[in-house]
Amino acid sequence: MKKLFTKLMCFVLSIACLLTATACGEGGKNTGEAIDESKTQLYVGLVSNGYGKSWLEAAEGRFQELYKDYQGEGGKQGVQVIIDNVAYGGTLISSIQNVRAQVIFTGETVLNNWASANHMVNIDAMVKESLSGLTNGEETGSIEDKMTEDVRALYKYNGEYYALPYVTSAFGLSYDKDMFERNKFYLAAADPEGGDYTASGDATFGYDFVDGEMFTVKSSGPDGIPDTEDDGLPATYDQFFAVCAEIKTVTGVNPILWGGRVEDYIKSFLGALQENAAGKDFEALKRTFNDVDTPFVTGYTDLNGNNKPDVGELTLEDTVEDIVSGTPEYLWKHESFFYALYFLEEIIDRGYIHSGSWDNTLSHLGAQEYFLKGTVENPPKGFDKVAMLVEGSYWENEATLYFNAMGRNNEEHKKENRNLGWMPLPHPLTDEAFKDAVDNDAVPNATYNVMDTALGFVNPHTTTNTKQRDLAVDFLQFMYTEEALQDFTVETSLTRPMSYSLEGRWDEMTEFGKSYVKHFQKADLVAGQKSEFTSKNSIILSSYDNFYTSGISKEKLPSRVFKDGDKTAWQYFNGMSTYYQGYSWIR
Amino acid sequence: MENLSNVTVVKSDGQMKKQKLKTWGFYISVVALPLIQFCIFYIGVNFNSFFMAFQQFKPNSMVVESWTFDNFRELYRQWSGVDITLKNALKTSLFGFGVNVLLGMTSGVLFSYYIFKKMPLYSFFKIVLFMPSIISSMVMTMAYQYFMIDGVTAIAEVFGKTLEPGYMFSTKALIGGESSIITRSLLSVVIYNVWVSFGTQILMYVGAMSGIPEGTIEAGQIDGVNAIREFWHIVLPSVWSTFVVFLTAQIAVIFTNQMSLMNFGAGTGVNTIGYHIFKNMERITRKAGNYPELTLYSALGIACSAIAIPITLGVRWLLTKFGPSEE
Repeated sequence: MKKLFTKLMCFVLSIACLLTATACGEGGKNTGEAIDESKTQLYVGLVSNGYGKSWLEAAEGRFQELYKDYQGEGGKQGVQVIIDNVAYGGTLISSIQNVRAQVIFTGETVLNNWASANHMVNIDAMVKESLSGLTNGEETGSIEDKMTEDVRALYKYNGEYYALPYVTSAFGLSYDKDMFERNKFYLAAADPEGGDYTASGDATFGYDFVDGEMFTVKSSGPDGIPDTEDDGLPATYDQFFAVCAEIKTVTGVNPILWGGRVEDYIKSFLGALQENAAGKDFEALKRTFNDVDTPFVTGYTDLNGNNKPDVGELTLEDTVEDIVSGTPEYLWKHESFFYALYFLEEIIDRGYIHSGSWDNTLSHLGAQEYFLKGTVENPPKGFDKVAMLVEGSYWENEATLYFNAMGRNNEEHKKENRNLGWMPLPHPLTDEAFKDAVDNDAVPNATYNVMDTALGFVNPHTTTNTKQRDLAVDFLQFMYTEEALQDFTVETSLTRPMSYSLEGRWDEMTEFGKSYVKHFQKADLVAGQKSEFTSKNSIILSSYDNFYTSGISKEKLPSRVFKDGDKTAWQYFNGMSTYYQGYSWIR
Repeated sequence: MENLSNVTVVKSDGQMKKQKLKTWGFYISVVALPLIQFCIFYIGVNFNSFFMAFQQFKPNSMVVESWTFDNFRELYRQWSGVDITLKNALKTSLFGFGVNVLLGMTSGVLFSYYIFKKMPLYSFFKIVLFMPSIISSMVMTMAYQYFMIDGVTAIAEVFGKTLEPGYMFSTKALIGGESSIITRSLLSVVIYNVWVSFGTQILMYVGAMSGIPEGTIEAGQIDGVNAIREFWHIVLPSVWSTFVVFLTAQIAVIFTNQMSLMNFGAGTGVNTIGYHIFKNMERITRKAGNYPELTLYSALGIACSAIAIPITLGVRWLLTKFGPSEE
């Protein structure tokens, strides 16, 4: 009996050891949906991330209806779309041949790498083809027509299309419009009757806020145009600091929050501040390294006597330096890098950072929950008031659980009823310089780099059969019709770097989604094929990881460097270019 | 020959062979999968890592372009340049090792002796000290962080002191200049690592101490040996070989020890060589554009191994040759 028991236990343990073998073979199967044997299955791989899959499900039904008479093999009629989970491209590339998905939407996928290894189907003809057939004549243009020349270049290999954009998102600040309204945090216009909608007041004597009595009209905001989405929001760094000071005075807490556990989000925030301060031309330079002249910082003039450089005090070299012919250090002497660090230093030094940002236990989801609960009129116990969240624009999707939980107790707190907004980053300009820009119709646009590694493509390994491939290509094409693009934006509150209208669908979006999309549609998008020079120097140019300083370990985030008073932004900025003095471009 | 009750059964050669075959078949079926996994994920991976240190990849891929010593040159350039990331990582690794040995291992032996002698509350301490080895490390680090951040703040308030948010994980240097590694954050991380190391140590040491003949202990007590002398002259020599194993293992992992940093999240400002390699590997493998950097970190791994291996073997030899013996 004992021997039998021993043998049985050994057998059970052996089987248990074999359980690890389940990791082998096809990954990402969706075992939840029952297969309809009467239809042809079309497997769509989607990476699990903050974008969710409701956008895909919204279009899936229409595609299945459109293809209800599709004649498949073995007498099958109709198509069944099944969504599988797949990994990000960096991981997926090693297992792509074992994945059953025929159409894939994923991130961190370098197109050249995938296309050259024959892991993507050539879809050039499809992208250039009219959408008239798929849309019953509603659309006559092609998918290519929806993209600018620069953007098109991102999805081509050897001059032909192999992928399409999955998504492009941004990093920055979110706020609660109701909280701003309730507490009077919107900046007032200086002289609306006289046509001056810039912010009333100044950094020295203070700004005026809309109070419904003396000041009733909001300022024009960062875009310099009245009656737009960003009215009343800070347009310059000084205005932003003033709004933070006002928030701190009224609510008693520090207004800006990021998850302490994901403090490296600071790198993304710095990146967003930098590209916004740099503008399209400089950001494009980092892609192509075409001979674009750009001035660099040589020093500063202490105009206000505070012994440090502020906005408008930098000295720029008059003669231009061709960055390519020199050494990399000149790239890091661009003023945008200083302004990003300066902004971060100021909000830390002035005490505008919420304590949760230094709390290692507060995850990004925890910070989202904190923001959602801290911005309502009466935050629940355990939640301080907070005003602004530092996050990616996809955070609204990630926070669905919290919206649902809050919505169960109060209808007004449901996702569709919350009045949240995307706050455009302010400009590194003095108030006078901003006013001049408004008067001369020269207000800089917000700038975003297109995420060129978030792609939608057809998997050649699972579409070896012409019929299968045609179906997969048709589905991918369908996902870029006007209605499907609208579905994507309505469901995710995110955009693709393509031109499409949301007329008639705005009401389906959340306030946050509308706010973000309206802002994004006016922004400058930086795209274009990276040059061979750029690819060769990718180690030097990898953006977010290069915010470090001479004399400080890379592991100490800039936020901590400023919090601990190790270095000033000016020292940090100079340290970055000092580091690169030892480097040479790889030619 | 096999006895079955009082009957002697003689097996034929064929039956013996069959029996042997079955036995071997059983052994092979049990070890086959772990052996294959070992071959692929240990031997294969380490060989691949070794060769990668001498390779250069083509841009955006893992296709070998050339064989070169450039990775080691780049490593030296990073080490001797203005960026002190590697130097600080090394300092932190050595600091963590030092605290683990001086505080962790010595305390481990002493706590084990306390438990072995069944001193007051020894069962309670046995459970508490072993708990980190049972509970998920993610849960442990989160609970520890909550205590160090919120708990310590609450305790300080009881004594009338208000601490700044995140006090116990402050990255401000306590001693030395701005590039000093000694911060409250580092101390909090190190204390955690010392605490979680007790579980396995106690298990092994108490087990080794239990192997000391009772007569030896009693003889010592009869001779009037006090607890300290008993520990020094009887117990420690008995567990010396276990101590050497632990110490050798600590030295061997100086450069791979991540000190649970991946569980602590970003913002600790603490970095060890092992964590530095891990973080960069994670960053690199997420984007094919970064693949060519893999070879640099392979070179770092080789360099660390070249230092750790002789030290580990040397220390082990020294301790074995000159350490106390039971005689």
